[in-house]
Amino acid sequence: MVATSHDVMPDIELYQPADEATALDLASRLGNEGWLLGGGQDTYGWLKDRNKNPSAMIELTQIDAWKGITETVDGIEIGAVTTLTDIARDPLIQSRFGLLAEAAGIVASPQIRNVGTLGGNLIQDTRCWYYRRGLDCYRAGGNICYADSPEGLNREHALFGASRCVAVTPSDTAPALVALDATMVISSTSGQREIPAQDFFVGPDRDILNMTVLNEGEILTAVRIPNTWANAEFYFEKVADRNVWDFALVNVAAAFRTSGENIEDARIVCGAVECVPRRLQDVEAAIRGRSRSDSTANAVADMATAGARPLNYNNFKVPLMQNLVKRAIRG
Amino acid sequence: MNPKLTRRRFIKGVIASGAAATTTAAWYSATGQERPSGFVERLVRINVNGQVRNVDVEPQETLASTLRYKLGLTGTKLGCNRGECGACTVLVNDVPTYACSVLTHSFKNDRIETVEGLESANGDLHPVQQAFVEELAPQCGYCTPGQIMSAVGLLRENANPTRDEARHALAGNICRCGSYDSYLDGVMRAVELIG
Amino acid sequence: MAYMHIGKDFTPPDVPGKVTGRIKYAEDYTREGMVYARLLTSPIPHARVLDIDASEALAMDGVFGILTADDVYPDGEPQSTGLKILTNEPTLVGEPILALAAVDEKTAETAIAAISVTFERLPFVLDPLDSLAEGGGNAYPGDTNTFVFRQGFATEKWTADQVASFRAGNEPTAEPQQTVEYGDLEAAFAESTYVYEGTFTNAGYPHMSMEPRSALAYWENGKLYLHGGSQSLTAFADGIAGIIGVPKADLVFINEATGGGFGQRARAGSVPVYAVPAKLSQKINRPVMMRATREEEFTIGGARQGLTGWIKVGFKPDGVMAACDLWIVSDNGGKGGGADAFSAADCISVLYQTDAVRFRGTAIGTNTAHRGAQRGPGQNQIAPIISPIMDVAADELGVSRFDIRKINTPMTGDVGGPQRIPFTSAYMPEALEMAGNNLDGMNVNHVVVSKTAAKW
Ligand SMILES: Cc1cc2nc3c(=O)[nH]c(=O)nc-3n(C[C@H](O)[C@H](O)[C@H](O)COP(=O)(O)OP(=O)(O)OC[C@H]3O[C@@H](n4cnc5c(N)ncnc54)[C@H](O)[C@@H]3O)c2cc1C
Ligand code: SF4
Ligand code: FES
Ligand code: FES
Repeated sequence: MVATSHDVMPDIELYQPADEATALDLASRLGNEGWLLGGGQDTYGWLKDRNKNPSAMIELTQIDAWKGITETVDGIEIGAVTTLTDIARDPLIQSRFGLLAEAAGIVASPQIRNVGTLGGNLIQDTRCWYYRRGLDCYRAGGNICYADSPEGLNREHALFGASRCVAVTPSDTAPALVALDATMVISSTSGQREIPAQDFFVGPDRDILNMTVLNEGEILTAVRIPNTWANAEFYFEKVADRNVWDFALVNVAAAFRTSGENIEDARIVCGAVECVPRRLQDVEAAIRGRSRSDSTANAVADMATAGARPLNYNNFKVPLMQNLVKRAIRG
Repeated sequence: MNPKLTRRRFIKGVIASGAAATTTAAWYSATGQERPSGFVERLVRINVNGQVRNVDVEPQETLASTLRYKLGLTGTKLGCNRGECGACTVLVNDVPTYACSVLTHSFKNDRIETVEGLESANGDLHPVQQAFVEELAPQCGYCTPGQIMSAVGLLRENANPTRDEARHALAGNICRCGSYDSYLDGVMRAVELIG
Repeated sequence: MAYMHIGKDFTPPDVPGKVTGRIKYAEDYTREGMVYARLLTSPIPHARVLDIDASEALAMDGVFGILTADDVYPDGEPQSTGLKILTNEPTLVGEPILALAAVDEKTAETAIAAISVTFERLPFVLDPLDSLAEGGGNAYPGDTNTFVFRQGFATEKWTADQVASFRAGNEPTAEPQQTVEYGDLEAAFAESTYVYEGTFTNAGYPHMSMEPRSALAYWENGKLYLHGGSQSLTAFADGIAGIIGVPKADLVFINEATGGGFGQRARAGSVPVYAVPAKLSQKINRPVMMRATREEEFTIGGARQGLTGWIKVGFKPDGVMAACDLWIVSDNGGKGGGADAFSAADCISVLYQTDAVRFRGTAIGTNTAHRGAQRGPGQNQIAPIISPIMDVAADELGVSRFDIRKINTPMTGDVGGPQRIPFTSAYMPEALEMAGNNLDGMNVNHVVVSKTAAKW
């Protein structure tokens, strides 16, 4: 057994396909030995640590077809390799889907947002440090969970949906896209499929090794946002230890349609409380027909965290999540 | 897992499947394999501080390594080598970028600027540099080049930022000496100097 | 007399180089033929190295050699606390076991992964109270957990009841290693109308200067040229020469700029790792650059002492702090170091002009980062403890939170600490006044409370 602190990129091949067909072909041929590369902000840590050891990187950011924001008949389409900065600053997204602009604009730090892509932000792996450290936990194919052990440090871990693994989704944009009823467009050499954002993310009960439904050889090429929630009333808030760099302890993304005083429909989604963005459908149903007020918010606070199973060190997430949901409803 | 084993298994695998890859062009001519498209050439031309430089860049090499160890541009610092401090901030097409957390190969067609490229040809300091001197903004100075590059990036995009906008633009640059307010004073003074 | 600088605007000579990137930190130098070193560090908090097999690594292309504790200490490792250059008995995770030099960092990292080290695991401890309890693990070599000045390693234990009672919030009943006091404590408590009693714990956080502890070394004509960062060239050069074992006259220590010290780079003893490239360079006869990683800064870098204490403070009816009784168990980490606990008591004596103070303290090792000087040693640990106590006392006595600070603040001519040393100048009252004026219009008494309340 040895330990050394790695921080240098190891030997690895690099492919920079210039068109879609070449990228899809490489992804399919290299399989799990090829690592898809957006902005690399999640990737390089894994590689420098030598805790993931693929043989080649396939850089997707030279492919213009997968970049940019376009208006479609019933909404907008965002190329998967569009940077978070471009999304946060896009006038169309700002005016119509401010929720996503806000979420993208609060990720990590300005420099990371300048290169980090939407695809990478959605597909990034969990930040559980035992796993990141390269320990052989369930998610790494072993048969123990270090975080959910009597001495495990699990302040950042899950309240819901634990199934051997208690890691959470780290993404700030994922809850926003679930709230906006977005659709993921996935391509491979054998064609294209579309998956609702809500079904794109998977918990450990379904697949403990992967955080999304993507199979080997598949590439997320675009995200489509329908006009369903365009110009709705939005609320996004992220609570983290530091305003910059740190991942959410809990975040909330919400959208409301009101008529007069009353909520007609709503989407409320929390991140960092479960392995997948957690949509609070019971709360959404319970606030329909009520006003965006303290009394509505207070009435559903407990419901927001019903079924939560806190671990040794994350009890605080229960009131935190309740407060965020209340603030979202109150507006 | 032993990275070497994976690698060997991989190389064997792709040779069998006819899509070979390696780091040197020589390998292809030696083996007669056809090069798959999209594979990177090591010898690249990159535009740094207005000069086009020919450099031998490994596929996995970060921009910070190229700048510091191949081009001798040591003004770009490594504080963490992990995207968590900002000491390595450079501009790529005017956009502040962590040089430690990007690949040099990604920027073959782009304009890279480091702190060494800011002075004018006659040696005058860039207004941000001048303002940082006047405000005595640096303490230990290790984070300073990164702070400067973030500030220059901001001012190119927004010549008249509020202090709060400056705060957000410099938010990705840690200063362990805690000189944050002085750096913001520097940015606001630079705005005046540019006029 | 005309001063050269006071009262005048001037640009310190280091500033232009800092804004142009021209000033050089240790890692900015190169030397022809320079190779790069990386450390292999302990993955175990307390262990003994039984065997090192580096044959595969040494056979790799681009690898120039390794350096182990046996190379550095041919006559055996020094038997004292303090960081060693390299060790065969690590007492904390991340302690350097060996270094390897290669043509570049990537090759060095790859080669290190091919080295196999056989460790014997030894009992370890992370909490000084666990170590004080009978049967608890001991952090230091030879099954010891403390270091007595001029005597060496020792083992200190309390009864299980004594540890349990302290954990439960009571005044420790064990003999302290150190007691310092002044004034009549009993009388001062007797005069007090409000007495606060409680326990506290704080973590000892690391320095994390922006520049990692990187160094470059090479030998020329019998002289060692060493590039590294320090807080004082003159104070540092002596120490590092001693650690490396080179006569001071043969050491050229080059230190143009230092990317932050914060206490860790005041003394060479906190940065013996600079000796690694020096020794490795001597062994392989090439200039060696060793850049420390940020992660290594958390382990080979130091930290403050963590303090676990019991405190009792008495206030007179007008808010004057009459008495403070402080009992602190310090977490001295895996390598000893630091006298922060006493400084904490000293700080209370100075800042609040307490009539009588008693400090009792015991320092115990744990298998965590080494501890040492960090700006404001002790003062920074006690500030978050004593400040809320001042607020509680103010509220209890019906004095404003602002006034209770003003009443107790030191002034020119006052004295502080056990030696009752007089202050030649002190302007706290003026500073408080200015702060009060700037807070004009706000209810100063409730600033702290309403700020937090506003968040929710
Ligand atoms: C210091 C630091 C702080 C951070 N803080 C935050 C934070 O606060 N909030 C937050 O949400 N994130 C945070 N992150 C994560 C960062 O935002 C994401 O890592 C980044 O957005 C990922 O984008 P990328 O393009 O750089 O990803 P990459 O590293 O390129 O990719 C990430 C993963 O997605 C896969 N992938 C990428 N694109 C595609 C695609 N189109 N199709 C299929 N697979 C793909 C890659 O193979 C890889 O597995 C932080 C990261 C760092 C280093
Ligand atoms: S929470 Fe999941 S990722 Fe973390 S240690 Fe447990 S199994 Fe591994
Ligand atoms: S060195 Fe690049 S962000 Fe710290
Ligand atoms: S000036 Fe020292 S880190 Fe910023």
